[in-house]
Amino acid sequence: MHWFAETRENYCPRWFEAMAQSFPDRWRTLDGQEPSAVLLKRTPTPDRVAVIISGGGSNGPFIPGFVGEGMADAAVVGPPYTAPSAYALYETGKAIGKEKGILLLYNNFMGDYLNNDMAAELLQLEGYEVEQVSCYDDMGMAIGEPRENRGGRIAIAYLIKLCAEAARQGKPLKEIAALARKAIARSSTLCVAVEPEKNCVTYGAGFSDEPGFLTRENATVAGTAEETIQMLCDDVKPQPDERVYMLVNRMRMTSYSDSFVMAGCLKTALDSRVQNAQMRVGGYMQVMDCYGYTVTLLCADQEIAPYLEGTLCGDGFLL
Amino acid sequence: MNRADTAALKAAMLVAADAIIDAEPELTRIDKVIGDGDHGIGMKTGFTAIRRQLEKTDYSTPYDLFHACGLCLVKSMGGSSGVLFGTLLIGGLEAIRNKDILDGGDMCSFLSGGIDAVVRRGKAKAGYKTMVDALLPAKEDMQKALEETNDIDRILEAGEAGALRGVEETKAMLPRLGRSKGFRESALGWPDPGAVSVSVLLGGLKKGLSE
Repeated sequence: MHWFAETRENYCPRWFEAMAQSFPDRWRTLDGQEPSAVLLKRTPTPDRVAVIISGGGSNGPFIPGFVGEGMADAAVVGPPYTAPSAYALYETGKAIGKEKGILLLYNNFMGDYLNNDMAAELLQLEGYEVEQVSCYDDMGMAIGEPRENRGGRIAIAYLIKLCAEAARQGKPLKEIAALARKAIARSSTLCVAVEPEKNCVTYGAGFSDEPGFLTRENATVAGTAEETIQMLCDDVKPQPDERVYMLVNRMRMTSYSDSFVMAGCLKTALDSRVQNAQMRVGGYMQVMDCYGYTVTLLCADQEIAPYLEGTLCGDGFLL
Repeated sequence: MNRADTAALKAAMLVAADAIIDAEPELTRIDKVIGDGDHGIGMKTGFTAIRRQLEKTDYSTPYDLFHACGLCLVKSMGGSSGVLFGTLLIGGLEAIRNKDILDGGDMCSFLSGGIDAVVRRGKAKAGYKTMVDALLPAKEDMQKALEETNDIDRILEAGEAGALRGVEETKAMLPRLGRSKGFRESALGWPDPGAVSVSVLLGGLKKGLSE
C-alpha cells in the first residue's frame, strides 16, 4: 500500500463508508464491525433469501462491487488479505436474514471457512436458517487432490448471479444452496500470468505468490488461448446437455483492449469444442499486480442455465 | 465441589481467564519459536474481553454464561484461534440447555461436545501438533473419570491431566497445519501453544471450582 500505509487502521471500514457515501442509493454500511467491514444493499429485500458474500478485504470489484440488486445482499470483509470475523458475519446475518434464511457464499480458504462455519453455528443457535457454500474452482491449487480441496477464484461471480436470481424468484434456501453446490462442482478457473516482454506464459499461479504448474516460453496469443481452453475442458469435461459459460477476468496490468482480443481468441478455441457457449469479459477480481487473466468455465445444465441469463450491471463490470 | 450453579461457574471462568492472562508471556515465548508469535496476545485479548464482560453481567443459566464467553472470544480475537476457542465453549451448549446446575457428567458432555466441534471445524487430526492434541486426551480422561465420580471438579481435574499429557506429547510432533508448519524442524522439543492454552483453561476452571 506504500504511502497508503497510514490509512491501514480500519482501512476496510473506511473504504466501505466512502462507497456508501459515493452511491447512497445503492449501498449502506453496517457499522461497528471493525476491523471487519460490512456493505449492505441499500433497499433490503426481506421477502427473499439473503445472500452474504465474504472474504479478505482487498482490491475489487469483488467483493463489495457485487452487492446490489441482482447480486448479493451484503459483503463482509476482514482487513486486507484477512478473513472477516465470524462475529461480523453473524451480525450481518441477524441484520438481514430473519425471514427467509441466509446463504453464506465464500471462496474456499481456511480462514474464510472457519469464520463462515462459526457464524453459521451462531446464527443457527438463535433460530436462523443458514446454508453455506464454499467455492473451489482454482485448478492450479491442490493438484492431485479432491476438487473440494481447491481454493476459490472467480467462479463465485457466476454463483452470486445464480443465487440472487433464484432468491428473487422466491426459491427456498435449501434449493438455492443445492443449485450453487451443483454449479461450483461444474466450474473451473485457470490463471494465465503473462510476461509480455518475454512472450512467457505461466499457468496456475495463485494470488499469494504461489508458483504456477506450467511455464511456456515463446507463447503466442492464439496458442495460449488454445492451450488454456484445452486444459479447462480436460478439467471440467463439458457434457452435450450443458451450456458452457466462460468468464474472462483481466488482471490489473492487462489493458482493456488486450483483454477483449485475448477473449476473442479464447472464444474461438471454445467454439471449436462446444456449441452455444456464452462469454463475459471484464475486470471482476483484480488481485494480482501482473499482466494476464483468469479464465473460468462453468458447465450449466438445464436447471442452472436459466438463472445465468441476462446482463448484470455491477460496479465497474458487466456480467 | 460435586456440582456447580451459574454463579460458581462464572467465578470459575474468571479464575480461568486470569490463568490465561497470566500465561501470556509463556505462550508468546513458545509461539515466537514455532509460530508467528501472536497466540499469547490473542488469548490474552480474548480472555480479557471475557473478564470485562463477566464483571458487568450476571447470567441466569450456564448455557447463557458459556454462550456469552464464546461470543466474546469470537468477537475480540479474530483469526483462527478466536473461532476455535469460541467453538470449544459454544459447540457443546446443546448438552446443557435448560440446566441450572451442572454435575461432572454435564461438564463432561458440554466439553466433549465442544471438543468434537473443534475437531470437525478445525480439520486437524491427532498428531498434527495443534490444540486437538490436548483436547482429545482431555476428553478421553474425563470420560474415563466419569466411571468413578460425578463430581464436577474431579472431572475437570481429569480433563486438565489429559490435556497436560497431550501437551507433553506435542513436543515430539512436527506441525502439519497452519503457520507453524513453516517452522517444522525448529518446532521439535517445543509444545504447541494452542495445546498449552487448553491445559491452562481446563486447569483454571478446575482451580476455580476447587476453591
